Amino acid sequence: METVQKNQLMELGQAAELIEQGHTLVISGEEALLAQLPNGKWIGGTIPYFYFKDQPGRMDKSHVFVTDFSDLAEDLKIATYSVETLKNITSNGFDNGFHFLILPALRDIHLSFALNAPNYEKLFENPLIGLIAGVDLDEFTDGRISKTFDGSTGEAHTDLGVALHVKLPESQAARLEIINVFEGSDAFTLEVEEDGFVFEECIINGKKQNLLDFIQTNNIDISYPLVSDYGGANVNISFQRLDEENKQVVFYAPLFKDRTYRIAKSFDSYVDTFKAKAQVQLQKENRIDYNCNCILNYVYGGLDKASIGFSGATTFGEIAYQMLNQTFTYLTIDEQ
Amino acid sequence: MSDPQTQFSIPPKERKEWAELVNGNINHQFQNFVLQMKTAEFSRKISNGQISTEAAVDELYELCRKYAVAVQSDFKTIFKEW
Repeated sequence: METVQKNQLMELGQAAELIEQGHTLVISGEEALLAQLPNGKWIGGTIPYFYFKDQPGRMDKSHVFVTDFSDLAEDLKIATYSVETLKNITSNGFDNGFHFLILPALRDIHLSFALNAPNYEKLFENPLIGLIAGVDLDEFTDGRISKTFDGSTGEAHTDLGVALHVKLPESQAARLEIINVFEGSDAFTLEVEEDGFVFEECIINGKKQNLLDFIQTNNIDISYPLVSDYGGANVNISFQRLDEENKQVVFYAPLFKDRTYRIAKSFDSYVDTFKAKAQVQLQKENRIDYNCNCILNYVYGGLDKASIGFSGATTFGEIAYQMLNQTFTYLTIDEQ
Repeated sequence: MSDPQTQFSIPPKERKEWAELVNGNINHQFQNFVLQMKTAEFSRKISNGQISTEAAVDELYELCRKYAVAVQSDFKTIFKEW
């Protein structure tokens, strides 16, 4: 299995050089660095946490992480989207290709996407992949806001999504896949009466009760996500925080009223579990063209002390047609 | 959706297995993420009357044609031969 694209941490000057040479790039890094890059065929999002193929990950505020799609893109469009226009993203690309979307974390547009993406027109015609931008976690807690960058204009945004629509030759098909180490346990089932991110009462094991009370009474480890089964694809919803003052539980992605959720089974090591799962799943792949992993897997899984065998920028949420949490996401290309 | 010239074929749309797949009557877990999600969605939407079996088969068929390379091993399990 081959990692095809240039997908690496680099000096700002190297990234600027690639832009000036006309490369088609997705760039992650500190805001102060992204703001210095020249205009060109790139989009970006803030995040300072990275993981590496050959060494433990780290927070790095002096380099940028670059994914180079130049060899793939037969054509491209860069566009920005507001809360109102984001629903058009899956209609605005090319007949054959993929859409790469970056959204700012926990802004209205992020929440709107998470709730509404399953209803976007033409959602599944081409892969919709991407990430939620983030910032230093300590600064995030203090209120710092992540940003998206439209490299074609050099503008940074706190409330707009930026997208790179890539056209592929007819002989290729982009395919989006996930590696999710989490599986639902039999500990309890959870359902909700309305779609949303914040919950007081839920239906737990068939009985309506306060979710916060249930979590605290049963010592539920909220570093593990809730999991819902979509035809064999486990989709995670991560806990953001327990709001004791309002007796609420806040999630990073929405729970939908027509789904059943289960808390994930625990395991000893994220890294070992990931490697075992990846070894099986990636046997069928010839190449990986892009990958990203969640900041919560970096934090809870100890990726600052170990490697999972891939290099990438972490995210505050993964875009894989819809909003995912705590999931390794990748894009591969099939040659027809 | 585009119509790629592919060396990998998929079974004809008339095969009964397509309708069984979208109705959830064949309990097959696709390896591909989007097909996992879509088959679950089709089954739910057909049950709720939101989509017809024919429309679901059309949509699934188009997706599988796009991902003809990736679905070969799934289809050998489901359709055996075509």
